[in-house]
Amino acid sequence: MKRGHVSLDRAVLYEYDLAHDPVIPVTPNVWKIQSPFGSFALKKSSTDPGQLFNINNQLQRLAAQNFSAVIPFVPNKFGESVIPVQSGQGAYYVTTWIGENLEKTSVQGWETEVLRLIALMHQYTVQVAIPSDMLKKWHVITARRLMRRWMNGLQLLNGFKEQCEREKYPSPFFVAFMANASYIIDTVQQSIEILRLRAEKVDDRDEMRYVLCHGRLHRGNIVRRRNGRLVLIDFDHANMDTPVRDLALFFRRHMPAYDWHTRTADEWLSHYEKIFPLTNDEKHLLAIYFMYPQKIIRCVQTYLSVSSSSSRSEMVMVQRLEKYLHQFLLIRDYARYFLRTRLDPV
Amino acid sequence: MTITRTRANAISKQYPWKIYRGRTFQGGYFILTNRGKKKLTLWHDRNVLEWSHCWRETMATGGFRTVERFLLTRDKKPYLDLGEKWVTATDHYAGKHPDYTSRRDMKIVGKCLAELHQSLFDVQKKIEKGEGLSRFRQSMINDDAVAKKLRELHGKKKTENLMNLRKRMNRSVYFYKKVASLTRELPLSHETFSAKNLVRISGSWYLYGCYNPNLAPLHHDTYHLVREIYQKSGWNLESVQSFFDGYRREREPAIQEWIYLLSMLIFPSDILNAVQEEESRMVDPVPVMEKQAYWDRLTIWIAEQMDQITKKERVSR
Repeated sequence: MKRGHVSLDRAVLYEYDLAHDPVIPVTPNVWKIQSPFGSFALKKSSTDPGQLFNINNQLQRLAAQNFSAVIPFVPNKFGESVIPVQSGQGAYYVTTWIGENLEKTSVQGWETEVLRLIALMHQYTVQVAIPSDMLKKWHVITARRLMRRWMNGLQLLNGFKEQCEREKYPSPFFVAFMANASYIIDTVQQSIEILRLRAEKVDDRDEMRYVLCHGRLHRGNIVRRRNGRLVLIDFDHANMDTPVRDLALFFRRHMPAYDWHTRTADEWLSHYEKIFPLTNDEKHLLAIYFMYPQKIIRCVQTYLSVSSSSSRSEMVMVQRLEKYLHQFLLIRDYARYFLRTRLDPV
Repeated sequence: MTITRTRANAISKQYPWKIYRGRTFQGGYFILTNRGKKKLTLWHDRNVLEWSHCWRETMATGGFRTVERFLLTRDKKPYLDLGEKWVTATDHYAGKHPDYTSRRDMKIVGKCLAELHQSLFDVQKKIEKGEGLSRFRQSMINDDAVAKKLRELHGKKKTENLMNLRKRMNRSVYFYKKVASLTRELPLSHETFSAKNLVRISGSWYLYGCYNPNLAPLHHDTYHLVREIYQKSGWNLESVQSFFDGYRREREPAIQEWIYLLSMLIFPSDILNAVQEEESRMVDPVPVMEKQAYWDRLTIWIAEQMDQITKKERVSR
């Protein structure tokens, strides 16, 4: 077993009649198993087994509608698709092995293709006025819950700002942060305020559209079939949520490579909206998502959690913060442009 | 009815595997398939089969994954209906059984039985609402083993002189009566249970077997298992202690359950069986009496454990 790999409970393999086949570690918690019946991917996930069960139900529904860009879990010989970890949290599940992910192979224009697939997935799974018991079952992130999460982020930024102000001899990271602190905090406050108005408006009236959101769309979670078609894998962070969540996460993650170029971003969005047009309200929410400095907050969190900050890690953190600050300005510009040009006249 | 080669082939078509070869065994059929060794078992009572399926699934979903479960057919059913009989398919488990002299193994046996008992309490809620198993309970309440033997022996002149035996039986009935109402509340369990129902494969202990069982209130299985451990460990109380340590770590029996177990242990079943056998053939009574001395040691040990538990309970109050 490679270093850093989590231990695999081999009893799980018996549940699939795969105990006697070669097991190859792929990532710390994914194994490839080559059997006479085909190749399989076994994953040890930290997600709650109940949530994985719900996710698999959605994947099965998608597959039943001939949506081939997702692969439901393979049931074991007792008909179970999710196997709780015996000691500890999480669960095991098995899927058929498709191929290598896009981290190892370069595919031109994969972003627009993935956006098209997300749009289709959202279209197939969309639900309006989701029942309250389902909201509970899925741990859905409502506008109110999101607002609370952002409030925590704001609290963290304010606390860190005060800490920086108290320092007699501020570190380079403190200096870099303080140069933009007021502006970042103002933006977060504005975002929260808009979100609050939206929460009052949307959550109370149950008018929000809920779709199956993947939650972690990056190249590592996209694989290519032999016929060249892309498949979305690793739905461990999936949830029933606003379609904006997937879009915002995808843009935040992949647009920096294009410096938030307006035309590229517009093109990506139009690929998505050709299949699943966003409502005015969702566009508004998307702009708010864009303006929330998620990466900066995470960077501050990481900085605070590093116990012994050597000069090297200090420099790395400063560089990272400056990169995120630069991206934040680009995102802000695009969000403003987006609000100006994309919102339908009321 | 047995499972023949032709029938096994027909049955296997309902499962997602190919048979390479097979052989009959009492009550079923072993097969080597492209998915490993499997076992087809014939069941005679659908209610017992469903009860058995239910506790296995309850244990598995409760976290005890290494329990033998019925493999699903292509139609996603846990068993096949052959009309008057039913067939289940399971994996064939081959490995090492627990060592009766190993404290670690006996702890594991205790833990497994406790987990099985825990699941039977859940099963009782689920399945006993149905009519299928109520006849077991009815027959046990009206015809419990202790009372039955007592009735039989009261009619035998030979026992009149065995005053001590009568005393023991009466004591057993005395304890049994104290907890008689409990037996109606206890879930159904297997009448017997052996440590050989556990097998070690690749470092994990698997619980398997228990096909077509006779059912009885909980702890008939504990009674049989404790006696088995005690005897096969060479009359070693440490093995029994380890078994109960493992059991109690998982599930603490109520004091009434201990009394119920004690009532079964007090009953001199070996001697009574010898007395009954004596009528038909010559039986040397000495080894039976010697054995009874060991059972008495076990009974006293259990009684001492109960005393300790009661004392601890009093102190904690």
